[in-house]
Amino acid sequence: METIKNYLESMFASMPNTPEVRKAKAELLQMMEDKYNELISEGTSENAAVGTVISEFGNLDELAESLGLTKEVEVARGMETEMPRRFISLDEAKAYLSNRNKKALFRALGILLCIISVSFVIILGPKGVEVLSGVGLMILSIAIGIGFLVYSGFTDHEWTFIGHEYCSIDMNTAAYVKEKQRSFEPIRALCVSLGIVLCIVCWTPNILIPSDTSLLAPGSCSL
Amino acid sequence: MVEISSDVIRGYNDTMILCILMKGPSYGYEISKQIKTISEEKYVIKETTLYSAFTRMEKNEFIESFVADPGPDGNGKKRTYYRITEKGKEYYREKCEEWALTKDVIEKFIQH
Repeated sequence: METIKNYLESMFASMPNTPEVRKAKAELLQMMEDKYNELISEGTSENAAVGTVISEFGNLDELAESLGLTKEVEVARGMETEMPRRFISLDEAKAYLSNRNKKALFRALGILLCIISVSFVIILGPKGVEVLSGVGLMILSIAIGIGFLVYSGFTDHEWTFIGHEYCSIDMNTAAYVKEKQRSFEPIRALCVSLGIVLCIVCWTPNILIPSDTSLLAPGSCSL
Repeated sequence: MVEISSDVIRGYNDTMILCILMKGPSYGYEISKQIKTISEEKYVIKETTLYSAFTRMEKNEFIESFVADPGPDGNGKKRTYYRITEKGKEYYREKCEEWALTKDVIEKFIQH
């Protein structure tokens, strides 16, 4: 049955991801599944059943015609004059996602540097030698942090159209993005919980390390 | 072995489906199975052909779809059922007459 599903996926890979196409895919899968199950229950081997189901499936051209995709293409053309739909290929989607990663990294680093900037003053004290004084390091840290933030703001300049243009992706790309999302989910959950835990326990250094003045207490910071 | 050319039968897939629906509502695989049985396994309708006929005839209001549970055969999953409309019945009768005429004409050119 897995082979049949994969076959159907590949047949639909280049189709537009619209409700009609999704419905057609589901209906066709159901018919194929029914046929497969019946063949299996009649004692046909799995390979032979898969072969029969696939050979009796039909072809893509007929499918496009049957789904009224010709009509859909016309509608899409009509819409193009009013709101052009920009097609995003799999490669473009990959480039966009890796760019998003870079942007997020620089933004996080920028915020981190701004937050920890005060710790230089706390640890070294406001006074010191020239640039190496707490204040000097604090200003340096903020400057680099802001540099990172500004840079992260510019990295996705070529992708701004995604925010305000109608875009479309094919089924292949949709599947790729979904898979990425799914595989990242555990890491995301871990990061969010770690962040929350750090926020909750951030006051503990104040208790564990006895401090003479409140200024000297190195409070831990979290995202 | 001689096989049915899909070009020739294309115009009559709708007729076959409507004929089956005249007996009562049915769903995708059930209809394709009946076509195979009634044609004595001489014609197997492709899934894409069948689904294309459903969408086209539903648009033309010859059939209506609804979702129902096929019972023990369905593995607990619901199927999209189709039922014939009055307009569909009328269309079916027209197609039957058309076929009788077509058969008459072609037959005159077939040498046995």
